[in-house]
Amino acid sequence: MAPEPTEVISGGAAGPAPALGSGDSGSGPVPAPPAGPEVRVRFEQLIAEELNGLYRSALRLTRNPTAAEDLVQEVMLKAWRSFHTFQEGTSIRAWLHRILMNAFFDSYRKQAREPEVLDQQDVGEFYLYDKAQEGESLGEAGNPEVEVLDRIMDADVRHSLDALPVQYRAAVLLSDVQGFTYKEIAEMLGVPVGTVMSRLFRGRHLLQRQLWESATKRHLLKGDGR
Amino acid sequence: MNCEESMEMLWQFLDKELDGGATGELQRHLEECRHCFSKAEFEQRLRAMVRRSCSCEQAPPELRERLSKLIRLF
Repeated sequence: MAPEPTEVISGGAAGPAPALGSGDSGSGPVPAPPAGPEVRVRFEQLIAEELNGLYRSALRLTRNPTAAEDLVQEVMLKAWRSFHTFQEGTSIRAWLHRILMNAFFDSYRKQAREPEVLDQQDVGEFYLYDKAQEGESLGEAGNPEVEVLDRIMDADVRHSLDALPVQYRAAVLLSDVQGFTYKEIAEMLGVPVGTVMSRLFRGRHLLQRQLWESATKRHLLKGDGR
Repeated sequence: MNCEESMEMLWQFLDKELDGGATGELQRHLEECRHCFSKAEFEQRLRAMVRRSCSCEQAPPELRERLSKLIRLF
């Protein structure tokens, strides 16, 4: 498990962690302290609601189930420690994802990988649709756009997304899978909205190219005709 | 709005990030242009597919249990 850094999550207010879980002995029906057992119950409820979504995001980012579990654990513990800074009425999912992105990119940077070479090859606006329209490798009958989508399997989508450079993958994940707004994503990634848009559009182009490759590969493997 | 302009805004439209005026103009164009409508529909279906494909994995039950224990400790 990764060591637990104690820095404050950006966007959260600095302050001491609430003394939760301490002094439990002899707890009776006393007035609720600012962070009492009921806070923990509420947080546990949130974990139950948000865990799967957070785990799926972590899985797409890390591309590894063990690393995803470690990341989610780190995020949930950070969230628990700074839960008192969470503003009621705002999106808990967005808050958790912001912590997730900070934690992921922190450790990503610490591992000092070589910067990813970003593929600048032009892939056109609506790559997959255009390819389907060309229709060379598709069946004669029917609607080529429908056919190309039918041919793509769920696992192909996940693998294609996983193949994207991390900055694009994060943007597509946060928008297309998690449904966050440009502004929310900009806050999570600490970049301007314009950067979110360019990463998102570029990421979608690349994703479509990957999907097309998956679809045609599957077609070849199955032989011509389905 | 012509085809080129509408396709430049298509992703923002599907992301619900266009303002009201542009949204209305684009919608009108899509009603009138079969080609652009078909593209928009394709992108929308693809989006739904990406979302669905990445929404089926479940967190392992052990992780859930471990987290419950950990937040009692901290």
